[in-house]
Amino acid sequence: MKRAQIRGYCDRPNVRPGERLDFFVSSPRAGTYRTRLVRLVHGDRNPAGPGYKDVEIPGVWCGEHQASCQYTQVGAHVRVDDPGAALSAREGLGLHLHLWATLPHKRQGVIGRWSDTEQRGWALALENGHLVFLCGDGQHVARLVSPRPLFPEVWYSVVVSFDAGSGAASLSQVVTLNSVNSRFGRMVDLDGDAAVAGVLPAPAGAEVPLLMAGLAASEATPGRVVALYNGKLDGPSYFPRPLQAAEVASLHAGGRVPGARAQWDFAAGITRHGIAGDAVQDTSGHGFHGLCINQPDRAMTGWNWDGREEHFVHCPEQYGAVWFHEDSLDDCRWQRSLSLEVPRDLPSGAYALELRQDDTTDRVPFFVVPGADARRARIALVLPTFSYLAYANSQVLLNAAGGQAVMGVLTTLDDIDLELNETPEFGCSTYDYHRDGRGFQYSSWRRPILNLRPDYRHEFGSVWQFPADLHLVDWLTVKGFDFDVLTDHDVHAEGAALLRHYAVVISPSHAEYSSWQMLDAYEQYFTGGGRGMYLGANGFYWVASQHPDKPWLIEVRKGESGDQAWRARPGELFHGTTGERGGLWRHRARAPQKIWGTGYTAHGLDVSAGYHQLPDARDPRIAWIFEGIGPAEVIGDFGLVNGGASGLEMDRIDYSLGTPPNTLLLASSHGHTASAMLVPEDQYFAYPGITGRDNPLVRADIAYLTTRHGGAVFSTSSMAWCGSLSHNGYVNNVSRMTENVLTRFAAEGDIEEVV
Amino acid sequence: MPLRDPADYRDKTADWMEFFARRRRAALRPLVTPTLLAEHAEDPRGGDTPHGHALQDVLNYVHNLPTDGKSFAYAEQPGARYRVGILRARGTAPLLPAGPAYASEREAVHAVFLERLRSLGLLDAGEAAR
Repeated sequence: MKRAQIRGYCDRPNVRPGERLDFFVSSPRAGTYRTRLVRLVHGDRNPAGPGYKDVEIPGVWCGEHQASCQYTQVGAHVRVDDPGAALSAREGLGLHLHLWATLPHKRQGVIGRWSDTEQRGWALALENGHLVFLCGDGQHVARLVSPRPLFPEVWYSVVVSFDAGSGAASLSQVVTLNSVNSRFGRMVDLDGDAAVAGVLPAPAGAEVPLLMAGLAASEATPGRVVALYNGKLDGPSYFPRPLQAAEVASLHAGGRVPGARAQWDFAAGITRHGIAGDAVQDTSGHGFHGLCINQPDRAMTGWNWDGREEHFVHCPEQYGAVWFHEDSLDDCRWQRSLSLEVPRDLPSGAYALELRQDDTTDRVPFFVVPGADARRARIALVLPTFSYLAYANSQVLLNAAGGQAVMGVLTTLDDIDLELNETPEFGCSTYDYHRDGRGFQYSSWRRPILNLRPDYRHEFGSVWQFPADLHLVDWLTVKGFDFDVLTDHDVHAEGAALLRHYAVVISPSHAEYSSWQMLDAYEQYFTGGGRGMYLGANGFYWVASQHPDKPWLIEVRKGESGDQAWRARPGELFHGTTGERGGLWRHRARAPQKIWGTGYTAHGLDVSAGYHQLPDARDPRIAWIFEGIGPAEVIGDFGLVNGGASGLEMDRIDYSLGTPPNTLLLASSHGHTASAMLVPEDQYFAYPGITGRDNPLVRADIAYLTTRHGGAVFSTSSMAWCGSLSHNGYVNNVSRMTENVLTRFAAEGDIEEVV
Repeated sequence: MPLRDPADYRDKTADWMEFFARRRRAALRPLVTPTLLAEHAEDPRGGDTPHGHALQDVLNYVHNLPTDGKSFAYAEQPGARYRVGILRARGTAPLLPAGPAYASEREAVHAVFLERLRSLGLLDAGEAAR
C-alpha cells in the first residue's frame, strides 16, 4: 500500500504559455522529491488498451525540492478579528442568536472567543446535545448547561447574559419552530424551552479571534479550529453588557434590542446576483465584520422562513441563515511550494507536474490553453473542468448505500479510493454528503483531487471524466490531428468569441455541468457556422455556477428531479453565488437536445452495447459519415468501457425537448441490461419496465444536424464512445466514423445543409 | 404529554427494515442454488451473458446493503492481485483481513458476492464449497 504519500495541487485548471502556475505539495515523509513536466496522452491501464502514455518535456520544471508536511484546516466557520478585545466579555456579555443544529450530540463551538488548549475565554457550545456557556480563566472552566437537550434540525432562539461584576449568568433557549422551518411542524408538542442561571467566574481574555461555528484550537496555532459546528446559525448579536429580563424576552420574541456592539446579518449583501463574497457584515456600525472560511452554505432558509417564497433574492429577510459543516473545504491553503512559468513555446495540451518521492508518485494535472495571440489549430477539445470539479474526490460507493445499486455491479476499489476514505481533509464532491447528511454544493480545485489522476479507474468500475477523456486525447494524437485544448473555465469566461477561432469544437465523454455562459457560447457558435462533436453523454445537464471571487470553486444545487445524489431542501434551490435557479438545465428550458440534438436518457454502468443503423444512415447527404462502414455493421460492439461504445450514461434525441426538427437519427444502441435505467425526470409515475431490457428510451443515439451558415453538430450520446476508439489498433468503425466526421468538420469549405 | 428529549425516540423504520429483510431473505434463499452461484462465478458483470432474473433479484438485494461493514474487492495490484476488504465509516481505514488473494478481478468480485451472501445467511458452508 502506498496511501501515505506525496500529494499536490495547483491554483487553477487552465494556464497560458508565459503565465505562472503555483503548486502546493505536501508529504508525510521527510526528505526531498523530484519534479518533471509530462504531457498526458493516455491514462487507462486496461490491459486490452494501449496502456499508460505520457511524454516528458525535457529540461522543463525538472528539479529536486524539500518535502514538507502541510496542514489542512477543514470545516466552515466565521472569523471576526478583535485585536482590541472588545468582544472578550470583560465588561459583561449579552449574546443572542438563532440556532438549528444538525448533529447536536457532538461537541461543537457555536460562537466564542475561546482558546481550547488554554481553556481560556468564553464560548457558547454544544456538549452532549445541550447548549453550554463556558467561561475559562486558563485554570478552571465553569459551565452553565441548559437542562433541555436540543432536537436536531429545529430552530431555537438562544440568549446568554453575563454580568462581569457579580458573575451572574443566564442561558435560555426558546423553540421557534413553525410549519416549515424545522424538521417537523407544529403537530409536535415540543417542550424545548429552557433557562438556567448561575454564577460564573470572569473569563480570562483569550488571544484568539471571535469564531462562529468552531473553537480556536490554541493561541499558539492561529487559524486552526476545532469542535466545528454542524447546522445553521442566524443573526448573532453581541452586547457588551448583561441583558435585562425584558430584553431577553424581546429577543426570544424576534424583537430587537438597542446597544449591540456587533450585529451580524448573514443576509446583508444579498443582491439579484446572489451573495457571493466571504464577508459577513456587522450592521451595528462598529465594524466587527467577519470572514467566512471554507465556504459555508449561504442563502439558506432562516429561522423565520415561512415557506411562501423560495428565492432568497425576493425576501432576504427570511434567508438570514448560514449552514456550516465540519467537513467543508474551499482551499487547502497550503504554503506555496513551487511557482513555475509555463514555457512560451509549450503547445496547448493536457499536462501534469509529476512529483516523485521514494516509491510514490503523484501527477498534478493542468491544462495549457493557447495564448491570446497564438496560432490556433482548426480543432479545439474542450475539457469539461466544471464537471471534473463536480466529481472531485467523489466517494459514492464508500459513503452511499445505494451506490452499487445504481452501478449494478460489485465494484473494485483501489488505493486511491481507500486513501480518499482515510483522508477527509481532501474534501468531497457534489456527489457526496456532509457529516450531517446535507449534500456538498461547492467543489474546489485547490486541493489534491485524487480521481483527477490520469490512470485512476473510477470507483464506478471504469475510467470516468478526465482519465476517460484521455482516450480521446490519445486517439487525436495517434491519428495526427492538430488540436488545441480549452477548458470549461475558458468557455465560461470568453464565450463564443473563443470558440470562433476554431472550425470544430469537441466535447468529450461527460461534460455534465455547465453555466449559462457556456450554453450561450455553444449556441452562438453553432448558429454562426461552428461545428461541434459531442462524443459523450449526460452533458450540459446540471446548472453550475462559478464563484465570482473564487473562480476555482463551483456551486451546484441538485434540484427537484434528475439522476442525482442528493436534493436541495425546500427553499434552497437557488445558487448563493449567482442567484440563479439550480437543478437541471432541462427545467430551465435549456435541455441539451436544443443545442446538441441529444440529452441524457439512461445510465447503464455494468455492460455496454453497440449501435444499430437506422434508415437515416442511408441518407445520401450524409454518406460521408459512413464511408468505410458497411450498412449491416453494428457500430461499437467492442471497447474498453464495459465492452461497448454505448454505455455508462446515454443520451437520446427528443423533439419534444428541443431536438431540432431537421436532426437525423443515424443509429441507436440496443442490448442494455436490467441494471440500465431510464432517468428519473422521464419517469413521472414510477412503474416497472424502466430498464434496458424493456424500455425503448434506454439507448444512445447517433444524431446529426446542421445549422444555418454551415454549422453542424454530430452527437454519439454515450460516455463509452471514446473508450472504443483504440480497439483493434485504432482500426474499427467507431474510430472510422469519428475520423470521417472530424476530418469533414475541420476541413475548409461548406457542409451541406440537411433540412 | 410534551416531548422533551430526542433520545427518548428512535426511528421505528428499523422495525420494518428488520421485518422486510427477514421476508426478503426468505424469498431469496431458494434462489441461491449452485447453478446461480456458477452463473455469477462465470460472469459477475453479466457482460458476456445477461444475468438471469433470479441472479438479478439476488444482486439487487445485495447491492442495496448499507455501506458500513460492506465487503468490497480491493485491487492490491491492479490486474494481478486482489483481496476482499470491509468498508468502514469515512475517515476510518477499511479492514483488509488476511485471506485469500485472487489473481483476477472476476474471482475477487465473486468472492465478495459469496461473502455478502454468507453474511446475510443466504449461503451455508456447503453451498459455498460446492
